[in-house]
Amino acid sequence: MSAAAAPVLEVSDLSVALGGREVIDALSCSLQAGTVVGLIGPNGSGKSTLLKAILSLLPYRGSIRFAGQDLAGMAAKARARCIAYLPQDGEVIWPIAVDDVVMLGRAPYRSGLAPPSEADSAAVEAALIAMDLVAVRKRSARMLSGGERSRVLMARALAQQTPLLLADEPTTGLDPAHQIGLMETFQAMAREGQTVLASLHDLALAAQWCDRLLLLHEGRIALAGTAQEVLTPAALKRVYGVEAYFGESRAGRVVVPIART
Amino acid sequence: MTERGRFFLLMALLTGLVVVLFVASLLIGPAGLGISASLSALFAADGDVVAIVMQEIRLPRAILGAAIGATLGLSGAAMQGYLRNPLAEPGLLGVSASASLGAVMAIYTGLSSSFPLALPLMALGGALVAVVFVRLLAGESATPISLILAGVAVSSLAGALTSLVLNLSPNPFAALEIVFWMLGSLKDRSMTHVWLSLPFMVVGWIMLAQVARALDALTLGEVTAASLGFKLSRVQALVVLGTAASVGAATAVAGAIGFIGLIVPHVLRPLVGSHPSRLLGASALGGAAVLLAADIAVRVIAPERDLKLGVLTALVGAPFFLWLIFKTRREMI
Repeated sequence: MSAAAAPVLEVSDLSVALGGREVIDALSCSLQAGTVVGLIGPNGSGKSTLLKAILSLLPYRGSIRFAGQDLAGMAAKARARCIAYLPQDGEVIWPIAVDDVVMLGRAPYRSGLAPPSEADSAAVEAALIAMDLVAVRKRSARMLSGGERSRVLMARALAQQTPLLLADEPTTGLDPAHQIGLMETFQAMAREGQTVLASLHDLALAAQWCDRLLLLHEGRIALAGTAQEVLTPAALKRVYGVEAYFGESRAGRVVVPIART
Repeated sequence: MTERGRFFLLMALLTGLVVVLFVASLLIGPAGLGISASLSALFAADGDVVAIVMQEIRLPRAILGAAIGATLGLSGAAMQGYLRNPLAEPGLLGVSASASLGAVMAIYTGLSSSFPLALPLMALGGALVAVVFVRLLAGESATPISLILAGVAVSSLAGALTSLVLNLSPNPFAALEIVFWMLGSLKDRSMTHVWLSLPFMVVGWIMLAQVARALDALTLGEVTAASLGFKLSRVQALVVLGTAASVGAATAVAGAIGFIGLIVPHVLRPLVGSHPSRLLGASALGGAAVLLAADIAVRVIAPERDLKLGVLTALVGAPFFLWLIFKTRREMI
């Protein structure tokens, strides 16, 4: 990764008002290709709002550029071929089969009611294999455990084959093994050149698995950089109001909040 | 067999069923005509009695039965898919209640006796008013919840006004006519009714068919559907306008016929792998089959008593609905 490469996503001077309050306030940041970026910050700091604004689901002021192109001028379907979204506690309303859920990720590439193309089927197969779902592919997506369902929804986002994935608290509600499995998937995607922006509450996961962190505080970027640079005692105290235990393990830096300050 | 193959087989079977019931509907009536004589009379150019009975009484009845049944099944499937709720039905938007109010006004004012088409026209007008109100109340970027609330508000208002009209009706005969009309029937409908309602229904069908893929995506929730490139405001506009046009026209010529739009999609859902898009076509055919069968049943069960369609569908549908609630409740636990 060279610092000179054009960013995948460039957010400049972004403001989002919800109910008369500036939830995102003149925020600027950029994401480099092939990185896993952790979006951290306390509740209400604007993490979900930032993700939704990037998806053009909320009206905003300022500019959001994807690979140099302004997202505001992009058609919804074209945007869906650039940016995928993995929602917080994703739902599956109807009991449709696992591979059909994954096929929904191909919607931006399909038109009318035509059957799936070879590229569509290949993308679905690859996503099912990547998320280890081949054995349950014909099961109803409502009849799965929480861990399996999160893998199905992740496979759905993978099948969308976008350069950028936005994930809203993807590890919430998962056991430690599934959390690590998901972060490994993000890292594998980054090695393939994709970019992941994931909002996280778990600072230990953020420290260990993200190449870069964006620390959000009251709608602005308080700090941006590596875990070493962002997760400092002073920043945690100022932004989260907590004191943390810092340690080193064979997997890198360990950050565990231990008390409120 | 692949899942796609099974779906096409189901569609072929349903199409066959609709064709059989359509022909059966043509062959049943008080005139007691022979099968070959009546079917050939359909295409006869001369105006003998058999040809008139077939072409001007039974044919419009069968066409309306199929088209209105398809409308109810399709719009029910679209509403359930859009609202992501298996208990949604086409009447939820207040369109049927308002169309009924329009029709009842036509009977009450006596317009319908001096100008027969006033009834379906005023019913269509009622449906139009309802859809304008619902869209205004729910707002442009409406969520399903605000749409449901707006529909409930319009429904109750239309229901209250209908009761008021009944309350004020000048004599018992007018009141009886109003009540009978509201029970729903396909008796004595002419080709004029077909030409008046079918274009609206077809336009509604086309609008509802457009949202098929979006309904599939909505299985994963609204935000995910939007992130997949579907414009939710457009989807809602198509669902509301498509339902209003088709159900408004259906109610205008046949009165309010309940339960088909609720139950047909529900029965067919497991057979199409729960895909909201596939459920649209299957429910249209299923609805056509059920309404044709019900219209045959009212003629066979009590030929002299003029049993009303809406009464029959409610008698069969209500127990089914109870079972549905019971089953849903069990699944929730």
